[in-house]
Amino acid sequence: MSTPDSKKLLDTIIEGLGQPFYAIDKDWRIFLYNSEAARHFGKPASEMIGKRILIDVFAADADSERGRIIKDAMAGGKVVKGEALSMVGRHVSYVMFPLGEGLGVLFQDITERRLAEARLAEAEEASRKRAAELEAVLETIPTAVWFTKDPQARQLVANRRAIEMLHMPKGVLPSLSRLPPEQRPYRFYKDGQEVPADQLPLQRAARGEIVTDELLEVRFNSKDYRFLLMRSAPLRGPSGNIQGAVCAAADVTERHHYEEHLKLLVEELNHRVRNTLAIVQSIANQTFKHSDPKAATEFEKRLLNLSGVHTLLTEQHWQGAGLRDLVSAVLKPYLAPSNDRLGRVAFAGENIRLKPRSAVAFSMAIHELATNAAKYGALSTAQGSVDVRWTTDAGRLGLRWQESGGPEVSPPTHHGFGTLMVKRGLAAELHGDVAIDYDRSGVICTIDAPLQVLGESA
Amino acid sequence: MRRVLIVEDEVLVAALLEGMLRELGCEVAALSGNLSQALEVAATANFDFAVLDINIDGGPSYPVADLLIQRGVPMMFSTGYSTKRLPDRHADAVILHKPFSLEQLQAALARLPVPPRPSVDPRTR
Repeated sequence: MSTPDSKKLLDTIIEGLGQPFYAIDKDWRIFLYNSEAARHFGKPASEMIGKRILIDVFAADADSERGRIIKDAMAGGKVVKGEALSMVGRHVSYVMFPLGEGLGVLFQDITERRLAEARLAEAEEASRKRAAELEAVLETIPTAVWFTKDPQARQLVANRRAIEMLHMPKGVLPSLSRLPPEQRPYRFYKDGQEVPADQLPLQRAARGEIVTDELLEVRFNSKDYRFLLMRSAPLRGPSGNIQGAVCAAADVTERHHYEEHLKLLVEELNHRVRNTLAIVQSIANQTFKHSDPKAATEFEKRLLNLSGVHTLLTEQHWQGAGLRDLVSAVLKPYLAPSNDRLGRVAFAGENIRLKPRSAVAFSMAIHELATNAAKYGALSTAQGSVDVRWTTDAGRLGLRWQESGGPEVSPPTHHGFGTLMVKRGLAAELHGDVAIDYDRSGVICTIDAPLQVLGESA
Repeated sequence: MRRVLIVEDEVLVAALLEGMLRELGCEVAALSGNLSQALEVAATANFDFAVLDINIDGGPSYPVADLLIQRGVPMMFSTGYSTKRLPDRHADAVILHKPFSLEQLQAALARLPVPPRPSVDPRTR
């Protein structure tokens, strides 16, 4: 084993440090200066060795903070540690120690670390701000929000509104699916049926479903209840895996009550209309039954037909009625299979939507055509038949009522109520053309009207 | 001839119903327009079936219906309501919608269960 000479040993050591190092003597002259220091300062050893620091080189730093640190260290005669900006403006952590009568300076560039730390601090601050904002929003909005951070939705966290709405004492809601039924403070119902805990929106969202606008009723043990419009969505991690779920609920109890009340009012109104129709029916019956039974029957049929279209419209909440549904309802007495004395009736066409007024006009007109056919036309014999079909082309409805196989037709000598309803009532209501052709082989009625007028809301 | 109890508080509608039921070969055994009287009649009168208006003077006629079901007497409701939900226990009841034709009344009658005849043991015949 040979011992290397001390100069070589020293060079090996200062290079082996792997970080910038230099040393100065009592006259500030640099006598050691490794290649890491050369890289840091951007000056080779040849330019630095023998130069006086703060005098020949970095003279401008003589009175600066870092100049003072070096001077203090030289004067103090003991180890000094700290962080500072180096001569070239980089953040460094340093150790200065007495070396003979001079000073050894070992340091490390920590600029990257400082930047990373600053970025992290910035990100943390931004995240903290966002969390604070979110918290403020959650506590302020008049919507109840609760969420879970586990896919099994065992622990629920709720905002202030949710706590108020669900009458809970603290910021944590119980997970209904974790509670035995007798311990649940409230239960959820949909259309009057209890919703099992694992079918509630949050639980479904925690399984990946997106729940939008589901109306649920929450009933408390105190018999109190609320109607909630709920939405729920899964919370996913960066890789898309489900990490929890969030649920929002708006209290729509008042709106629900209002809607129910409105429904009840409409129901009562319809009830009165129908009772009144029955009274009118009775009055007509009392008035004509004995003097003119034929007229009494005819009137009653018209009234019942009107009542029929009223029923159709009521079922659709007075939004309109389908043409095929309407034709089917009006012609029902003639479609009955047992009624083989009457002829065959067939109809075909799209179930286009008619606004209420159009529906009433159509219903009355078709009724008159059918009544006429039963009295004089194709439906007055066993052989006759009626074919009703309609098409919708280029924004227009084209309907054709065609009788055949009945007795020979001759034009009526006078125009009665039926003709009035068909030709005038319907044409005016539909903004269209209605024509009745008393063809000898059978009555043909054609209706041509713009679809837009038929369907537009009243 | 089947005997019928009519519960209807609107005189003209009751008259119409009465006329139609006669045409269908029924005899009106009793007619009542308010709840308390209807309950009394339903408990005591002798009839084969009943037509009950749901809304009568004094409230809904459901208690009358309950009494009739208890007595085993077939009955139908007549009503101007088209979408109202009946109480669950009457959900399957026959319903006659006002205004109605003779044919519709006849069809409703045909849906009524036939009241059980007094059972006769074949061995004692």
